[in-house]
Amino acid sequence: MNLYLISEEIQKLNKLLPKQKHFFEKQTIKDLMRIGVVTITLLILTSLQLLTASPLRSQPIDKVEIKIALHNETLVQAFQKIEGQSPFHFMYRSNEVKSIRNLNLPENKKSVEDILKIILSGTALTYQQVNNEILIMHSKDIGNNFTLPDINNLSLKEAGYTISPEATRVHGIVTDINGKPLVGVSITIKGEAIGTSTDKSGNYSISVPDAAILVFTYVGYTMKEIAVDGRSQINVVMQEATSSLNEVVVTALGISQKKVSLGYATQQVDGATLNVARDNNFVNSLSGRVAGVNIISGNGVGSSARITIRGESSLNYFKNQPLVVIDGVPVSNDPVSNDGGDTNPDYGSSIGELNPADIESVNVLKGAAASALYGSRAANGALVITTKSGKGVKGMGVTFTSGYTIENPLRLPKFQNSFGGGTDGQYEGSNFGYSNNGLYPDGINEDWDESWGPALNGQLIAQFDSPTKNGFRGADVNLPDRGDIIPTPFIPHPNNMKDFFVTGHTRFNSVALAGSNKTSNYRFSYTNNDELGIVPNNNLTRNSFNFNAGYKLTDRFTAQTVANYTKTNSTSRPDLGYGHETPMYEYVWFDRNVDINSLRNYWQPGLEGLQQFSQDYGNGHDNPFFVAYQNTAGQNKDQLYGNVKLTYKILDNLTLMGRAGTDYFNDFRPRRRAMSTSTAPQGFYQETTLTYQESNYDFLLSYQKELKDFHLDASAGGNIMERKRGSQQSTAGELVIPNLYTLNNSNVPIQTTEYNEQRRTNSLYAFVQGDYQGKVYVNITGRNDWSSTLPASNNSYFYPSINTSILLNKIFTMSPKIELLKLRLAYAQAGNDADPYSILTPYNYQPLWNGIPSLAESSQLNNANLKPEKSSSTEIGAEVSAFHGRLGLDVTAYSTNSKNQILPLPTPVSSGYRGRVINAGEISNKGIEVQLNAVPIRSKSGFEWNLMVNFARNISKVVSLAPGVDAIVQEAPGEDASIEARVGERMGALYGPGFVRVPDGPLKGMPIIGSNGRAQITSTSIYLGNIDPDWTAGITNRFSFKGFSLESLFGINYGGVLVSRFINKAMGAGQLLETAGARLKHAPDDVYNTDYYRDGGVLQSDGSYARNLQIFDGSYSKGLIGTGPRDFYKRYYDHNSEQQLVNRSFVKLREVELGYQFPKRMYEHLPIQSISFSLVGRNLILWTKNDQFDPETAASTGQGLVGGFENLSLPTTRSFGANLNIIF
Amino acid sequence: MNSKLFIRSIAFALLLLTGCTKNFDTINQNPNSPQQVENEQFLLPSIIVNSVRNYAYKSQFEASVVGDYYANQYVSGFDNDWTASTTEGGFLWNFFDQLRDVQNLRVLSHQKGDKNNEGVSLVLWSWMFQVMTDNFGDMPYSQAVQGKTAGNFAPAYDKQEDIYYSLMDSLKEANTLLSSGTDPINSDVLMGGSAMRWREFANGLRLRLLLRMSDVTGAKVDVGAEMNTIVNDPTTYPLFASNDDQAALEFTDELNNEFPAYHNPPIGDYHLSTTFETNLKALNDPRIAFFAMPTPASYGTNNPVYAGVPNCIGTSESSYNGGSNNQSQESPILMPYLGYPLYASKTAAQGLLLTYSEVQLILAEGKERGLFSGGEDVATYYMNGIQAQFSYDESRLDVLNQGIPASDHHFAKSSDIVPDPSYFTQPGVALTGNQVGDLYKIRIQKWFALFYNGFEGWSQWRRTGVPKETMIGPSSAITEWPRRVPYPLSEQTVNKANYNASLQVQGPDNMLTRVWWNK
Repeated sequence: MNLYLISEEIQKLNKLLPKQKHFFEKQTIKDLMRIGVVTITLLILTSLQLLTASPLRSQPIDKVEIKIALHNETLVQAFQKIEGQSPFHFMYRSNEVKSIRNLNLPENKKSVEDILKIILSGTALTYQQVNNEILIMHSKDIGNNFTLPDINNLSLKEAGYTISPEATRVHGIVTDINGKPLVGVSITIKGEAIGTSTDKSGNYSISVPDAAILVFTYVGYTMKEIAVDGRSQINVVMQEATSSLNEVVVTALGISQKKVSLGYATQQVDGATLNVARDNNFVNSLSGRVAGVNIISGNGVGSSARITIRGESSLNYFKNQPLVVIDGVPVSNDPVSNDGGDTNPDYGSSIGELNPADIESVNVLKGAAASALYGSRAANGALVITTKSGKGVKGMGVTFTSGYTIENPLRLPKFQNSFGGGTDGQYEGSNFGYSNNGLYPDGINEDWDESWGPALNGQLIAQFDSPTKNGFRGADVNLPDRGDIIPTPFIPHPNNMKDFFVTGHTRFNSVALAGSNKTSNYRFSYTNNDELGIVPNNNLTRNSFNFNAGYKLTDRFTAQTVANYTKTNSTSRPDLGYGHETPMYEYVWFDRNVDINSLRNYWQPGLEGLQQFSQDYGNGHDNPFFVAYQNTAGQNKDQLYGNVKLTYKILDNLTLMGRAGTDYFNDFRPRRRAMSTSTAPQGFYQETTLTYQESNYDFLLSYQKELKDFHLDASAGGNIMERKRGSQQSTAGELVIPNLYTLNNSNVPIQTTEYNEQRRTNSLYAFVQGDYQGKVYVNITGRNDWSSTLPASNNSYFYPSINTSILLNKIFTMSPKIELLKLRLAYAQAGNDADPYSILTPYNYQPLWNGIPSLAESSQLNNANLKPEKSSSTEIGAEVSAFHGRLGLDVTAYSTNSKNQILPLPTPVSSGYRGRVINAGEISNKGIEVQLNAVPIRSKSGFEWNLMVNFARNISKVVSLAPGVDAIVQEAPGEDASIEARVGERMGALYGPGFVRVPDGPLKGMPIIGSNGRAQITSTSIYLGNIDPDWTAGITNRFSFKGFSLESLFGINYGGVLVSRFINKAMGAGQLLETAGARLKHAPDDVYNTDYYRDGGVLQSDGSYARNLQIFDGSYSKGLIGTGPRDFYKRYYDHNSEQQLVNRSFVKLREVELGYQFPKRMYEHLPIQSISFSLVGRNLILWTKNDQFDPETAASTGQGLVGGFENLSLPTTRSFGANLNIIF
Repeated sequence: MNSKLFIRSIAFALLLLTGCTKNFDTINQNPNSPQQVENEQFLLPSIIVNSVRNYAYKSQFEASVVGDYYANQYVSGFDNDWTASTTEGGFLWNFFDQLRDVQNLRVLSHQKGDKNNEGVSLVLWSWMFQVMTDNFGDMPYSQAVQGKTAGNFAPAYDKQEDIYYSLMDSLKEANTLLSSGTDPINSDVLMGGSAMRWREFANGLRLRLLLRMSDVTGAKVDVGAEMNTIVNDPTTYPLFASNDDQAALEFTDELNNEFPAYHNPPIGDYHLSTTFETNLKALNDPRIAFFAMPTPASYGTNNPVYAGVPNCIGTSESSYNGGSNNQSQESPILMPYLGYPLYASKTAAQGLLLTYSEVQLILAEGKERGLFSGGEDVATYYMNGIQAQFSYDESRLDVLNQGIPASDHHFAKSSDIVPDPSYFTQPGVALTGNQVGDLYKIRIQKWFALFYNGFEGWSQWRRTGVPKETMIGPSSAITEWPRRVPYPLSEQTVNKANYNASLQVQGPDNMLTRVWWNK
């Protein structure tokens, strides 16, 4: 093995890397790159050593040791025993061997050669190894100019040689599709340890038992299984595997191109990967698998996922997602929310409804260069999804997939269990905040929804669930005579969060029929996906029908169609955000003495349907079970997408394609609130209907020309895109009859709002691809868009791209071990248009007042002079593939600049407007992506270890904003912090109030403690950190042995912070474990009567600072200026973003899959082709600094998910389950 | 199919594509909302409703504490709720959202020559700026609300002094326009389309401004002369003649058009303040039953007890006076649906911008101080102001108790708060001719009358120190009772240069820096 050569290649690569240095400025980045390069080098070297340890060539007979014993056996029997334990096979003349019998050999481990020497000693026979054949010859033949026999040469037979009579002998030649013999192809008998490999002419020979299946494997080629079926000669043509050099990928506009020809980075994910350890939003399954792709996800059934590729390039936070194209039809990933006020159920997005079982592949086009032909909408990259078709399926194939998983919360916050509700150590329940018009007196601090009350010592206290003398419960306060409360022990309920959640279940059943013949192919699938969320009564049922068919009308004319219909039903989707109806909100204010199980019976007796039973009416806290079962956010969505494509071959090298496609949905969302809901005491019912349709009509004319050394492809096409959105919402703000949810049942005039939107983009584009001798490829594209959303004077814009792929290994002479060394260069521009109706400022209708109509001008001033956005990107990359594809490395560095961004620029409201739409700003993104694929072990016994590592680092920078503007608040979904774009800084910077710190002196940097004993909080925002990770990585390991496979995927996220609203609020409310810490250090009588001292500096009269906490005995009780326990915690966290930060670094075991492919022989009499079974798990283990929640969370807002904020998000779920796949 | 046909269809497609931009205008026409308004009556209602709802609602929160009517341990810490991120909503900087349409109304009516509507726009403009500048001090004014008209998205700050002078002029101009206009004021949900009442409002606001700057040395307005002109020329400068005239928005019982706190009450943490309790009890004022609920312990008994809580005592509020059973919650007319679903009223509380009482008590002070001559005597203005306020409060209790059977008596009734004749003759109320003492009595009564307008109550305290009991307590982040509030965060972030420049003029952006009329 030529290690030297490889290291030379690495050095060549390293020489390329310094060129990228200018992309990075900070020393840390340089260091990081060095570490990356060293790591990769080490990985490669390690792999090489492993490679050298497992050669594939046939071994000499003196090296192969076996263990056999012979007891009065014939020579032929001995040969068979040797054959059974080695790759060798014997050839002999029967008449020369049949007389040799009664051989004896004690069981012993010996080389084949030694055994032969023993058993042939005293005979006239001798042996000769030819590849894996052992020729048994008469010694007289030696020296008779006997030439080494050619095992395929019939003259052998003529010479009287026969092959082993007991076993079928199979031989043949293995070639690639061009007829070139393949050397070293491994041939094994399925289910057996015996195998051989082809010689340098591509020939093989192996003896097989009856009904054997031969398995042909060759690195870089698709494995082939062939039943022998009594044949003695089987010639095999191996197809190159998709992951190899001739991989064809689907690029922009659905054009398939050879990957080697591309001058930009793409990464393809096989659909099978997404359909085992399935996430029902398949987007989440891409997480960790593709370098440079970041995904944040809402939790809860069917929630949406936000995708970004190569960082954030738009100042408009919600315009950073890539285009998603399914079979040529763009499909929306924008979640569409109801304007639900302070909380928003996450209703998912259309793309999340794609059935993972129907996905053939997902190709991630990472940059503008890759997606240039898609135009404006793909400026952030594109996911090009191809669904499965019936192509290549002979006859009719039926695939059945079934999965079942259970889900539970991955991590829940850590609560204290020492102190109960109330304040100042006092609590006594009486009316629980609802005096029933004075019927029931107030207790003591009973409307405190915080746990600053008495220690939970089992003392008797009247509580909401204590029985009353009249046989009711304490909080049955709407009853006219509840009776006196009989106090019950004041004890903690450590599991009062855990007990609320239920075990989630997901059932997945999918059946697909597929088939093809010479003129047509089809595939039809039906999938039922049934989920129950971890929040009670949350569920989701999805039924998907997918049909894909192609028909060759004539030799020149083909038609293809794809149609997909998905119906989604849900009784209730989880509500997210800071508001009365979200589960995590309820737990912020859920006192530690509250027993969740007492709330399961959530009506007050005799008032069923009218009045809920709650632990605390005074603060409007709804019973969590009441909310879960009565206040539902349902969904009934029909989604349909599909297209029809006609292709006509005008000439052999001229093809015209026409296609019409549409994506349509109708989403009906009924929202119910029962009588006595704190925010809707008279009940509430709302119906929202959202409609969406995007239609695309396009054509493409393609021309190919072969010249002597040149190959030329040229295409031109056009597209009309039309998109319409609509929403109608009708609200019955109060109900007449309880529990009857229809708009007719409204007690007040029904309020209705409506919104409709329409846009069109017309485009023309052309591209040329040429290559010189398959060594240098050049792609040039140009596209012009005309958009309806821009002012007439600026509505046409053109953007070009060029990229080149240079196959250095074909240009320079290199070791044959290097199969590919490719250099990529790409440059592209992209334009982008505005949202519809961004030119004129509307006046919005206001609610009627006594029947009087009114209008108010929008707070956002639109702009009649908008120009298209413009972004340009450059990327450079290199790919290496070596050792029969056992080692692959792909490195990309890129730089993207986005200018003239169309964005709503926040303006001071003192100007009369809160924002104005402008063209402004320049954002640059620079980064590096590395992918490494290796097969460190591939043993002859069938054991294989595949390793895939990807790494990405992106640094974005705000180059400029509008004139006079040096900061833009992009999003601020909760608490005081906001995501700001500031000139000269990274995108994703988080700003908010923090500690005022001692400026200098010995206490420099400590928080300043003010005269009220609280840490001083800055009046202006300080920099808190960046919400985006410094780098991300994914590591996939796959081990396979015979039918077994074990795959694991680790996701690694390094750096980044997020602001947690839950931690802040629950800390201030005395619920979290930490808040018991200081209290428990105090003597029981002193808990609420003595002061607590925060460490920090106190300003002295001479201007110096003295340490506030002076005695460090952990009791927080000796110092200068103190405060009560509540303020000690609450005022340390509240309005202090710095204290609410959580480190986002984590390592997560995202997926584990243990699979088994049942051997064919187990079901050979059944009409089944294959059965596989797997145990799967997702989000199994999380390593991260905080012990409260998974930092990979996001805030759900009306417009979509916002990273960097935890805003009462549901816990991430961990899932376990099993999958069964049967192919008939 | 042959190749010619294909080439033709491509040519056709190209033509189709490039030709298609011509109906882009139609496609990009917003079908949801008009982009132009040509009639004032479509702008006026939302300006009034949105601004008054906002004002009436916010008056119940921080304003009621800083005016010392109510106590709230969290609010009177003067920290969390008093930061740049909360003052925009809490102290009505978001009036700019309505000023946008006030400006539209002004431009539109001016173009159309609709003097009455233009006058209305000037009155609303002046009222909103008066409220804001009193809370914040210097602020954008002359360049404000010019994003659309002048492309100015970074308005410079004006000194409060100059804002005051300009508001005086605007109100004067409004009065003039409204006295000569002939255009109808349609959809006027505040003043019923009466140009006269708008003039009364304008002139009353002028009096409010004049009194507020009456102690400023070196003011460029002759306060006395201006007051004289107004008082002595009632034909040119009409003033509210009774409660019927005052600027009060009556809420409706339609969903979401109720009194704004009906659904989102400041309940629980707000209690009668000790300062308010002390002053009401000192005068044996029966309206304590109007301003607060009996303590829960005494509720429903024949001896309702009213007990306040001091501000600025932090968490010890919860155990103060034996806990919440002995602390009075806020006024029955503010009682929200949640607490008293059978009896809560959607319309008992009004949105009060300027009352007849306030105007009369302004005149009483002006006359007492000899700022102007003519008009009525001090006692008349004073008694008008007090009695009008009693009758107003009684009338609102009548609204509250409408439809509640007498047998189901839960809240105070109007008859409970009718003053005994001795109320007016007691030393704490009757004027004696001692200017210092009389002024204090006038101002205390005005403070009572400004109960709905916590912001105004606070302004009066800042100017006069009445009530004298209002002072900072042990559990506050600042060393004195607030004198102003910090500018909203948006000014720091998106109007930074002007914000910073203003700090050089007015002083640090904190709660202790005094505004111009309060130096």
